[in-house]
Amino acid sequence: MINTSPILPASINFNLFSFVEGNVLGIILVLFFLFYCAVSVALFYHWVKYGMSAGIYLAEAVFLAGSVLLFTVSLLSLNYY
Amino acid sequence: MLYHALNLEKDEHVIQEVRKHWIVFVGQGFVTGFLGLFPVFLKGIVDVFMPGILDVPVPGNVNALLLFLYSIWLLFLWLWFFIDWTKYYLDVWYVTEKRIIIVNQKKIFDREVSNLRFDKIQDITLDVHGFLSTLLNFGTIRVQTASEDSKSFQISAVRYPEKIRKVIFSQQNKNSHNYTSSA
Repeated sequence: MINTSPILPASINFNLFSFVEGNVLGIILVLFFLFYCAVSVALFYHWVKYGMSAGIYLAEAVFLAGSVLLFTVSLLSLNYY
Repeated sequence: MLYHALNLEKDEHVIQEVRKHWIVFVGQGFVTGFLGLFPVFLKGIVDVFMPGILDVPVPGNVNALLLFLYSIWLLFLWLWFFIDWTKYYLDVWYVTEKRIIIVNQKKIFDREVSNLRFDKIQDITLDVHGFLSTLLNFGTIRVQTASEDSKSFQISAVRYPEKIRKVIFSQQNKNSHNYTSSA
């Protein structure tokens, strides 16, 4: 008798996006947040130490406001996902 | 102005700040803005011409996922924009009564500060090159030192280069006059 059963399973139900779970996105956001904080600290160090005009305070405020807004959007979108 | 980081002497003041023209930073900002809007254009094109391509079987809401990825992209660009701005903002020359303090911010962690006394200056060259530079009045200033190991300092795309050369020459003349009369 010849064994005619296939070596591989008939079909694999493979979903490329199945790994995109909420907790994976959460880990990505946390890692990005850490990277963002490290670079922001370097920027603030330069602004505080070498910033020679009062306009630097405006730059700091704009940077912080934009960062908070965008991180809030990313958190909300993660929440709705 | 807060010149605490320059370590100026007691009787020393900053007469002139020499910065690059704002047009340099507008170009960088335009590139960042374009990159920020690019995903929106892309999404619009995909929605019109390939509407089915976004029907991927993700475990959650596709639009929320796209918004999440877009917000991360915008955060990355926001950071990049401020790194560029910091390099632009900290790349500056300060002309005082006694010297020129040259701050060259090459990268975010690559900063070079040089002091150039007026008696060491041999020549100042201006280079206003091209239509836009002439129209907006910006160009390159190059200062050559007279010492044995002759050095050249330059700052490109600087505003009102002729005015700055006059300020430097005027301070140089005052210093040499003071030195002659005190000798």
